[in-house]
Amino acid sequence: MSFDHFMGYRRSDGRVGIRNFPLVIAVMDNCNPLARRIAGAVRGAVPIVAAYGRGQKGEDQRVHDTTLINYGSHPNCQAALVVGLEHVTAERIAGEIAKTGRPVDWIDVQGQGGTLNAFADGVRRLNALIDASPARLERALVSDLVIGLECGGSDALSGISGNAAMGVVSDRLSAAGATLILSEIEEIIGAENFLADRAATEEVRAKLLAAVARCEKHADHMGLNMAPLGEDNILGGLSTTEEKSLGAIRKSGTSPLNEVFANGERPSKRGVVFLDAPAPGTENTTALGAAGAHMILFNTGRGNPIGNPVSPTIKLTGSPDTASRMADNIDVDLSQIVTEGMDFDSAADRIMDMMRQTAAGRLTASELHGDTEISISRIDNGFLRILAETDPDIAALT
Amino acid sequence: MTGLIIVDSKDNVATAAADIAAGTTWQPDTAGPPVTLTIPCQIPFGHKIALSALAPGDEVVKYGVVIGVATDAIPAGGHVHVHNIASNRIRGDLQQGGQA
Repeated sequence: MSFDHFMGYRRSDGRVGIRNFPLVIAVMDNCNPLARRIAGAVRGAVPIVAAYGRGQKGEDQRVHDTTLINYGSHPNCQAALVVGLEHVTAERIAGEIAKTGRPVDWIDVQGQGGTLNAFADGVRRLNALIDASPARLERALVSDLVIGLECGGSDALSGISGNAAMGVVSDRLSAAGATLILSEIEEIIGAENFLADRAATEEVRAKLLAAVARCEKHADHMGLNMAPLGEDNILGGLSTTEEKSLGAIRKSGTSPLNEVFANGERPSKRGVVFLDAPAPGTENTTALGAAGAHMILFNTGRGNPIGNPVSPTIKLTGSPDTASRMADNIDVDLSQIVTEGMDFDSAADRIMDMMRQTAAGRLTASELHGDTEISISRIDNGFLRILAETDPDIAALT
Repeated sequence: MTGLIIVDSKDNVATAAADIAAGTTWQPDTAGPPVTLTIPCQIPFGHKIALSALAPGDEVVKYGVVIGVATDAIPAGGHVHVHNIASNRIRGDLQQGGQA
């Protein structure tokens, strides 16, 4: 295997990072500019800024909070400064991060007496956190890794080129004891029974099917036609939702599906697991990062530049056109699968070589360009209440 | 020739890895009886052709799995797409092509 170990930053919770980012986490959007400013004043610091966060209710609040806490304790995070408008929320989020053992501090703008004081104190506190967090590299195995699997801007060749090669990587890493996170609930529709046949237990099978059923009920609830195929999909040659979804799940390979878990949470099992989170690229990579993904493999057919700020995102394409047209954004060109009949094992070798380099510190295209963003999903709490009344079996499992 | 890709040996469709001109003849280099297909019409990159003739109601198989059913007669080598196949999956309908 071309990639079986790496040198990483061992954390007090036992996890190992491939990056050593100081994070500045805004707990609500009114602190985003300040968080960006503090991060901008400290070399290497990364702002975690998302829309909303203030006045969140119910499931929205759970996903928002656990996402921020999981970033603050992410294996690629060296230390976290939490920035709040008021002290209650900032202290609560920082307190949860502290429980994980990761160095953390917090400030609140109101308590600091305004932006300028908060900026100066925030920079001092972040520098102090970094000073108190000596870096220690240790040899680690790929079984320590959590890998997110993503595809976006899919074309008809995605499923039989990049996703198929990613599937070989998934099989190899699953066999090596790593964790592979498949996600994008909408892109399971039409292939859920095929995926459910890989479920390791009846509970996993039931949870997967319930998540798909909830997704469809939500479209019904909104009175929307959840058009399974876009015009560009059809122009690209995809004919049915089954065809699209079968191509999408191919990136998870063939090994058993060991767990289904909710957005904002982390997996507890190794091997292939399913994260029940929406498919759009920024939202989904945010959820994969919160789930603790050390890096994300992102196959794009038509091209999509976005990556995650904490989980280095490796862009693959099987499209000859995209590989040349958007070369700036592509880390691994797999177009030879369709142009020259390159076999999937050779394609998987290329992907794993880039994973090895990325783990060793090579910047991905999205890291290099700063094309990274955080977008935390918001849930229709009203729909969840109705679902609990009309379909309690589905609601109980999702 | 790498112009058409068959994903699984059970598949009855292949995907074009390049634009294919009308009148192109092609022999799949896979296991099974050697057949030569003549592709009657232009097939765009990413679109599918039938590996054998399909009648209305026949299952269309890609990835070794049913991806829909033919709604019209499709000759061997013919273009397979939304005009002559349909999903078994109707939004909101949890029936899976006759399976529970």
